[in-house]
Amino acid sequence: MAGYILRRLLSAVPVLLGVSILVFAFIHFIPGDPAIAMLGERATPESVARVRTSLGLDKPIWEQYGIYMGKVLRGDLGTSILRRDNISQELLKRFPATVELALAALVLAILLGIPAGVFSAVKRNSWFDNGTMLLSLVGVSMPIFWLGLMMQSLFSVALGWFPTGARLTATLKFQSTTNFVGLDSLLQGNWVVFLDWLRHLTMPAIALSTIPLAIIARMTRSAMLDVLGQDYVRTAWAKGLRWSTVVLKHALRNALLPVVTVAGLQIGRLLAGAILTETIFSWPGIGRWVYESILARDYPIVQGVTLFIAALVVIVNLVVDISYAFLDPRIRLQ
Amino acid sequence: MTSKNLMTLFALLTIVVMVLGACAPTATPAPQAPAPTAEAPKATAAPEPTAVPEPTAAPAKKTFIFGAQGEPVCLDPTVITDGISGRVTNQIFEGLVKFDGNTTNVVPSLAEKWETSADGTVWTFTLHKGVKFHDGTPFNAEAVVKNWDYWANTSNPLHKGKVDAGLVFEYYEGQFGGFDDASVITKVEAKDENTVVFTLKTPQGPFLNNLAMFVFVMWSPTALEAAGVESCKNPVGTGPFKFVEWVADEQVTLVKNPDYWDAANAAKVDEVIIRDIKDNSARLNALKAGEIHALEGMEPDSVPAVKADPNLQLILRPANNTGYLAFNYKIKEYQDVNVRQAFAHALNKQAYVDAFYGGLGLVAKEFIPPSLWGYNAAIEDYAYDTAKAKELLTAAGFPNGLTEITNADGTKGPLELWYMPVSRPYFPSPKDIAEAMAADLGKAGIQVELKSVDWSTYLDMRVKGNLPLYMLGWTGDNGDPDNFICYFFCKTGENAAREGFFPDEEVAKILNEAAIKTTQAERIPLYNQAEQLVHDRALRLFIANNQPPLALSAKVTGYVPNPTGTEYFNTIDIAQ
Amino acid sequence: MNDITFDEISQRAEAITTPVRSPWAVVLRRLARHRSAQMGSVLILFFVLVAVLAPIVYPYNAIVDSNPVNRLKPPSAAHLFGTDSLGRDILVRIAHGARISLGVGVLSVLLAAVVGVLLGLIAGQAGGWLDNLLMRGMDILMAVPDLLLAIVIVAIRGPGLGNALLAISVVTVPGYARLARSMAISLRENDFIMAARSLGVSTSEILRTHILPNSLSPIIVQFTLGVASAILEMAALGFLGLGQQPPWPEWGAMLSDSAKFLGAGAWWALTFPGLAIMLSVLGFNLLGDGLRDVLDPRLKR
Repeated sequence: MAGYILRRLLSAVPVLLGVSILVFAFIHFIPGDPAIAMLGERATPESVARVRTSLGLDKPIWEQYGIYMGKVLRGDLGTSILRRDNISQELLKRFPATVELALAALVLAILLGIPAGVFSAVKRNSWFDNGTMLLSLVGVSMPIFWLGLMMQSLFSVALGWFPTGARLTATLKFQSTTNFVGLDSLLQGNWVVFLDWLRHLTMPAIALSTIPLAIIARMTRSAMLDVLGQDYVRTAWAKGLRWSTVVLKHALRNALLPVVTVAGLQIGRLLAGAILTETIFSWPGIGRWVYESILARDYPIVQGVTLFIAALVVIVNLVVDISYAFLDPRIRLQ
Repeated sequence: MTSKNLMTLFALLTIVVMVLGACAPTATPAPQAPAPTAEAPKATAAPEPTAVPEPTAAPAKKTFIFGAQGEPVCLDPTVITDGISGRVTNQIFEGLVKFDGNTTNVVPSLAEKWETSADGTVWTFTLHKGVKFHDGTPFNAEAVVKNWDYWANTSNPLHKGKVDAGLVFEYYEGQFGGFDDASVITKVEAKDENTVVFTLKTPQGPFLNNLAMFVFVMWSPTALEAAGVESCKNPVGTGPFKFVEWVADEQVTLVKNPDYWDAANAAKVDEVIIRDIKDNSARLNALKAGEIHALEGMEPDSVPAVKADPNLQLILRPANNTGYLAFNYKIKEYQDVNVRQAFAHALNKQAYVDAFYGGLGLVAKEFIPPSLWGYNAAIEDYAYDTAKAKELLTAAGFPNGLTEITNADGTKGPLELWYMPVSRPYFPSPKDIAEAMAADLGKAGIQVELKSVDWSTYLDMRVKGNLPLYMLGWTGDNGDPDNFICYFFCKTGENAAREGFFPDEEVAKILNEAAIKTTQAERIPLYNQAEQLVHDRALRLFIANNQPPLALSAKVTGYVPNPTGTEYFNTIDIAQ
Repeated sequence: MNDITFDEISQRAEAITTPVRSPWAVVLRRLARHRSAQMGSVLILFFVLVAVLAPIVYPYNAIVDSNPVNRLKPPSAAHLFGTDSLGRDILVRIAHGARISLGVGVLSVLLAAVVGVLLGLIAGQAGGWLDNLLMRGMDILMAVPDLLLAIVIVAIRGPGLGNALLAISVVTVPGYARLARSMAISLRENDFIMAARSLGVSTSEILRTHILPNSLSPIIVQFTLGVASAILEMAALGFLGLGQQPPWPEWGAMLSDSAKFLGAGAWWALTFPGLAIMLSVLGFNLLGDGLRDVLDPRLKR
């Protein structure tokens, strides 16, 4: 087992290194001089030269990469162009918002998707099964930005149930120590802030959850069908065990393994979906930040955030693989 | 758990979702049990759908919330050019003079009066006594000298530090000719505690109007020194509001300055929040939902809905902008006046104004907007006439229409029309207008290909003279025609890459002459003459002027929109 | 759809190990009886017909089509889906937009499939360091979320249809490479292929009779589902202003144009292009689903 984990860990290293090279290369593919972008239109040649030196742009590219990676390994992602912010600090401020949104979407997807999948499998070919499967296909076919806009126009503009965007009502003053507004307000027992946060979270979380929800429902169904068809389940039926015991105790527990895997693998998709969802709902997370930075050509931010997201995806996949191996010894042998 | 239980789970989830939405208005009542960190959460976090409730329900404290189109770039007004930052800094800082209400008339601010020498080169300002910056530093003549040194002296360490960090004093350079020896202002001296003397190299027509801009305001010298390169995030002035905090991507919070020097003009609200809501429809939705009190930047099509809504009011900013279509004179075809006039006749400007300005726009026939002095009412615009356009094209040697262009190096390329990726007051929906122009040009035999790119690249391409035919515009900064027309046409040829290598020496000469005259009587005929030449030669095609709409909650009073785009929030009050 | 789980891989491997006799006739017959495949085919056929017939029934010049006087009119007999902000008929634009969406969807996935399968087969056949290098390369591409990678590629190369197509292809390649590689490996070590070889059957014969039919089915499934994702991604890029440039109609760009007019109550301008995206994507997803059922023997119990 230790050997397997070590192998997997080692295989992640070249991937992360490759991502860093790819991302670093991005900034050099881009037409234009970062120093001029930083200084603006009226930069004098002297100040451009000075900034190039201070950014290390006058050094050979491999050396620049070395310096950048040296900083990255120390947790320093550099400085943004437009507002000269410390990117690592900004990232830490914004990432919790994205985690809140992604987790809420994932929880929603699991809470609705697993029961729906179990039901569909148990009542195979019933109207419920067919309906759920069709709906789940509609779910994955839905452009997330369209769904978001339609929800906004219905629930915010027409009905006024939910706010159109943002994370908290502007007049609410809340000092969040961890930047996880939901968690902090809950810990402090500040219900006004917590409920306000929850209301702001609801629509973006629903919009973001559609695709993972559909995938989890389908995955649960097919995993359940698998398990329900196996001998030990048939034996359980034959023994005359109660329906709920068979389905939930014997079948679901075993079917959950692939479902959890799939749920874990949705992280990358959620982060990508967050770009659109956060933009539409003005949710102050890293998805909206990276998109706006691309538009503003603030490449150090794009570089830093992309690297961060990629590292996250690699690590999550690694954790999923390793936990899978823990649960299913056959994998280790491959 | 049985299947029933699962069903219950479903039902429960559904209920939770519905409760969160529908019942929220009752779930978050007025501020009870103020938690330690939630400073008087006077939130109606959940507005009701019909009546717009007051976001500041607490009786004691009034908060005015403005929905801005984006986030400030920097809160040090001396190094910015964007109105979103300027709107914030305008509440914190004050200059010697300012614009009055909804006009560009210059009135006293930190200076109570001033006089000028006969030749217009020496200006003596008498300052208000007893004014203090937000940090307690006294405001006096010495502070004015230090501020000017910060703007104009490239060896001042504070100035140098900014430039090295990539922040440049763009407006100072633009309005006062440059830094150090190039500056029109050659020295600023403190004659005594409350008297300061500005000496100019040459007379400058728009001098006072320049000084009244939101850029040339007084920093607390101590705070500026302390902030250094970080001045963008630590603004300290003398204004009616003090800076509290700037939460990236969310909002800037200002609080009333209780010790404001001018008691008669002290702020009426206790707090101002400027929220960043980039999307136009989201911003309007936030206003309708009572999440904000006022906004700027609205789709023209939403204007009728705002007018009809009893909970909202619509106010118009006086027209002080012009949207145009500019030619790049490196391109051979555009050097021919017949081709340019063919474009002018092909465009149905009235239709664009009718369709895309929500009934608030005006057809522009020249650069200076009609509200500004120097406007030439006598100019007769090119008529919308597709046949005439075709004729002119034939005269120019293109009887079969124009589909490609010849670059400076002789290579041929498609005829591209570049449109801005962002909405601006002069072009509220640039893409729509571009498509409508493309259609009209197409009918006249001019086949254009529409192009766009992100905003900063767009501006960068324009500065480098790389846009072949492009839409852009201008919002006046200071109520002086110089700021409109000279900014664009005072330089020519290779010096004017930014203006598509604008070629007309004659126009430039007239405008440069007008800039150094000091009386309107002398200047008006010169501007009129220049405008006539620009029009006759179709040097640039002016499309529209707009009166940018602002939408406000009906409870807001005292919002006075200034033509320059930055107003003062101290006059604003909120009815309870 | 890049997430191939171990489960799916083993399913596919199983599918491959089951020799098929007259595969395509059987498949087609089964497919014709499959409910979601029927629905999907009808939807796809509908959109293909629309795309093909649009220029014949209603020749359209997007450049000169603009009539500001007639703007933002709700659905009526003259304009079934209403008009947009330039007074253009939304139905006509959706019909012509079908050409772009379907075209880009199919083309980008085709490109990705060819490149991906080639890379995967090379990796699977070669093994060793080349295999390692190629697959780590694919891992690197897969580490960056699809949409983010696509946006960055377009940002570097500039907005436009061609670059959007390229970007979508690049992000789609790794899925095919992985799939093709796993097939190549399992086939290489497969009993019936070894048996055929030992019987002296030529390589081309093995390719024609065994490998091709067996490896095509998972690729076809992946391809169908891939077109669905590509249409969605294209719409997202268009929505963000990075895809097809105006005045040519593209569904995602039509949506972002219309989003501005929600405040003015122009629901039709938002609803119909969104429906077009959803239904066409649904069509490919339904067909892909049906194909998977029919081609994957394990689910046919």
